[in-house]
Amino acid sequence: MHSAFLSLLRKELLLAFRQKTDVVTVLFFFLIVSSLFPLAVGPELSTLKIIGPGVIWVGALLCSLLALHRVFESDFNDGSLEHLVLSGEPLTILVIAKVLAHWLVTGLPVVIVAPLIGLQFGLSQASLVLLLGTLFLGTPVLSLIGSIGAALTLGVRGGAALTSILILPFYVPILIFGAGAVVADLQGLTIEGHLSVLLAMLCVSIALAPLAIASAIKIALE
Amino acid sequence: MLDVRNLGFSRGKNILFEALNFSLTSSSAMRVTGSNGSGKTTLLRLLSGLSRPDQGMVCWRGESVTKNHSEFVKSVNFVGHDDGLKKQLTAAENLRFTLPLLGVSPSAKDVDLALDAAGLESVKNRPVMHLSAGQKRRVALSRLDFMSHRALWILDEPFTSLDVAAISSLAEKLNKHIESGGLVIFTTHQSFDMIPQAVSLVLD
Amino acid sequence: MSFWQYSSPQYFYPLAKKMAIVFFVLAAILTVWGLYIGFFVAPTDFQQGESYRIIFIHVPAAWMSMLIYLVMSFWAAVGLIMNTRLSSMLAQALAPTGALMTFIALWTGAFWGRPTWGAWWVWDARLTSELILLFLYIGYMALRASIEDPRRADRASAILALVGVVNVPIIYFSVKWWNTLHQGASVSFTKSSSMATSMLTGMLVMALAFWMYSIAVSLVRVRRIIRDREANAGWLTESSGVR
Repeated sequence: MHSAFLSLLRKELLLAFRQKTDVVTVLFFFLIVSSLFPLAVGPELSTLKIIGPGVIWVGALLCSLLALHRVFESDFNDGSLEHLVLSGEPLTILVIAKVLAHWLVTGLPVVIVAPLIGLQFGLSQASLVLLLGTLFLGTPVLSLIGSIGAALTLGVRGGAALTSILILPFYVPILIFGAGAVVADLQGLTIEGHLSVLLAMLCVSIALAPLAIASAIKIALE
Repeated sequence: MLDVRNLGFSRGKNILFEALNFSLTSSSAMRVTGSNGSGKTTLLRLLSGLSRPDQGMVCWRGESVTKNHSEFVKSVNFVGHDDGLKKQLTAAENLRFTLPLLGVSPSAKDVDLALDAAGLESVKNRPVMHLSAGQKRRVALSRLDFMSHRALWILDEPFTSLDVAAISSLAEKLNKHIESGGLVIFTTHQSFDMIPQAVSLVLD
Repeated sequence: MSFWQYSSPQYFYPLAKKMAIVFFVLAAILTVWGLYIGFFVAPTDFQQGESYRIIFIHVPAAWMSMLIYLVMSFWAAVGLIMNTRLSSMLAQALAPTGALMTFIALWTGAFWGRPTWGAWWVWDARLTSELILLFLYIGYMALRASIEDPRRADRASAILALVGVVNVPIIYFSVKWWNTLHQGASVSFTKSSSMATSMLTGMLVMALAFWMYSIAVSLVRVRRIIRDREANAGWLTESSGVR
């Protein structure tokens, strides 16, 4: 099982490395979308400081949605997805490998770049660190839950818009606690509660989301 | 070993087949033919447990295939209509990364030998997207060299895009598997007699 | 006929028609009774005046929106686990009614908030949760509509509904936290004054009325779904079926 998990993970990372455009596109989308807000509401730093955490978190959310089609779509189209289902290894474990690779390629870069964008919004150093931390805890959850939507909509017309409609309601709690932590900290409130909830969401989604994703994949292949 | 009882499947308003019954013991083969859209691929997917039938069941060693699917698949080697290759990876990389999923971890040397034997020596380290359809098929089929531990081979259109030499090489591999106790079920468009033991099933 | 025979669409079809008529009648009686209590028996509220009376529609609709989501998910789960067609069809039939209830709850919530707060929408925790519930219903229906094979649509949407059921408490809890943290406005009735018994009775009667109505409408809808999906089964062309 170990070798199957690792070789799948390595394969996915190698594939992403050979096709760097995917990662770069997502990062540029993040940058562009974040830049739209100062353009829309004006460059007053006082305003930007207030909306900054929310804007960056929503940007990260949208990036996650944008990148979701990468998880299973090409495997579905070229017949590799059948290999996962027919492999004999537990599908939930293989799914974790796929989602982990997906997060490393599309989620982690967003986490790393976010503080830079935070500077554009005039956020303090403490806020930037907190932003980094909440995104680090939250973006894997976005990948896990988002992958459920991606698996449910394999080969279905409606594409990204449909997946977004399905998944965004489930993203709301992560957004509330993720962005909320940074905002609460700015107001001088304690944020232990927020971080605990984010960590709990991460643990629960690692435990449960792969089950839903595996079922959805099997349904898509029937 | 493989029993199909009263199998029925419809796609929408189209009844593909119903009340299908057959049994295969070890060291046997079956060739499924039929026109396009007659349900050949669907039947193979039902036999491998990827799809669930509308009526009836597929049994492997007495147990329903869908009941304990994760155990059943360890006896199945499914080569589908699509090659299942990642086009940005080389032929060698494709094999090296896919085979561990199927329970074997061959060394780089074994992979090279298999690809050389399939006549792909010159292209095995090129990204698969630069290969011809026939070459891609041969890469996908070179997996078979490592799959003798899985008894039931289900192959969808394995002979498509292959030239004469490759066809006879593949037929040799299939016959070898059958002789050592395995089962082979494959679909093909044309009439075919290179697998002498194959029972014929015609869908229409 | 044994009870289990009704789990087949063919036998359920005529039964559904009879049941629907009964439930429509019940719904009509209860609605008349409930509205009577709501508009003539329940006293004027000393804080909110007459405008509060909209709760006799708002609260029952909100309760129904949540109940229907649970029932829909239950039948979807049964259909997924036991591979029965009728269970999935029931889930399919319930979704639009659930969405309608959510929509009514949101609209009446806005009408209620307007006289009290001067705004058509306040980000009250419960209203915001209702909004997200509406998105969950829409998502379920959109996914179903996008998948052509009805059996795959059944199974995929069942997974979505189950993920939704698990998430609804999490979403509600998160939104409540968010609302109290930001000291948001609250459109509430029970907080501001003690409720007269007649008000509670009125809400309960209307809730029952909405419940009967939901069942009746869903039964009619499931008959239409059975007609659409079982068109090839042969039994529909007999006189017992098609109108």
